[in-house]
Amino acid sequence: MGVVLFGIALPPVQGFDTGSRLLATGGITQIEGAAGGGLVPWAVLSGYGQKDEWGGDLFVTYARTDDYALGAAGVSVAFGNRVEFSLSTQLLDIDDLADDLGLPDDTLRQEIVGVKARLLGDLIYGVVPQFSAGLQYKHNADFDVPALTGARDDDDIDFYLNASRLWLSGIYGYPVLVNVGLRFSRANQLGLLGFGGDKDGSRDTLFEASAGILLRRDLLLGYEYRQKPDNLSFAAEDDWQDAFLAWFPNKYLSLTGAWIDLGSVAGKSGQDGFYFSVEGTY
Amino acid sequence: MRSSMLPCTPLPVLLLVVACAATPGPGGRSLYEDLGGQPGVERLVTATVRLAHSDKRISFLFEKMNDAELIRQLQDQICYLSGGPCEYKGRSMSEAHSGMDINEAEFDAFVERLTDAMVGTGIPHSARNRLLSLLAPMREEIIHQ
Repeated sequence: MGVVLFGIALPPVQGFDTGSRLLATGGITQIEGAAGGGLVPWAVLSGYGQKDEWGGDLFVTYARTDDYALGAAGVSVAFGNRVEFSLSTQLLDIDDLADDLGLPDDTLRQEIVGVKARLLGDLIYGVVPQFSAGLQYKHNADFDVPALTGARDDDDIDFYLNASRLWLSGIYGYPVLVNVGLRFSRANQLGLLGFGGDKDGSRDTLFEASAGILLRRDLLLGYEYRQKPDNLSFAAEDDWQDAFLAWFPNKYLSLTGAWIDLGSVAGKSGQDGFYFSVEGTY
Repeated sequence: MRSSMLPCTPLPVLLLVVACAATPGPGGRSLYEDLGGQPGVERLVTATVRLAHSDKRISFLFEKMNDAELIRQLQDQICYLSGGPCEYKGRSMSEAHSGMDINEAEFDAFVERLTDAMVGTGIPHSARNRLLSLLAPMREEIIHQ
């Protein structure tokens, strides 16, 4: 079935099948490569693979705030609606900051390897929401700047636990998605500023949550909140939030636009801006 | 959110109907009315069965069925669930699917075709989801029987 939005008609994609799970139930890909919203992982696994099927996705994300630009890209594969593996890379442009402070690098890069497993429950069916646990191994590839700011390590692992539920009847028949999670992390600005710091070297327990409503079968409007650690004395790190609109024209593609509010980042306050993500699903 | 979904899950169809049917929509209309009443439900069920036959993931499950009988049963059931003036006299969900060994993927494929049929017959988004939320608790009595 073709899809029409703003007068643009997209033909159905023929020739190969995604998994059987329902449209939009793989979420999009969060900035660290896991299936989720934009900033926060959800308990769902990437792609549309049901039990005995597999799937996954490719994503590219670009985010821009007043003083920074972040690009991220990655790939994931999930098996049997049970376990998801992901690889992604992030590149943060810190040109303004580097000019101000005379820093040795004007970009910061890191690689992330992620694993997530569905523990129990289901996003939609049965009485138990879907629970998943995951980890993200991150390696900062440009550690000179983070070291100058007081970061302790150039790699570390984030652990997280989350639960997601989609209530089909939702609000007057508009399905409602709720996701809550805990992350155990010592990553400074996702790890782009290294791990641990002069102020706090150990992992914090951080709260993450998302809520969304399916305005149409293919259109998810949502909000996310992500608590952040605050390990570096040179600059306070703020919690993040975003409001997003994700469009799923078919089971092979999603496009997401978001407004993001990152607060103060490395001493530059008021970092809000936009986020755009394209994702191909298989 | 909708706590009324929870008690429905393990109960047989009849009780499920009592517990869940006829949740009124925004305008206080029954779901049955929002589905277009008897002609709307008939169009929907006919389209669903047609799409199920054309979907290679699930068509084999419908090959040996009598379409007219299947359409009548589905029609009664959806009419009943949605608060319409019908009785569902068919077998229980687990009896009706006994021996078919429907798996999770096939169940989702059927939901997808049902949704396509609802879109195709002009049933609005909110009514589609209200119907799906009445059918979703039956999944445990349909798969792996």
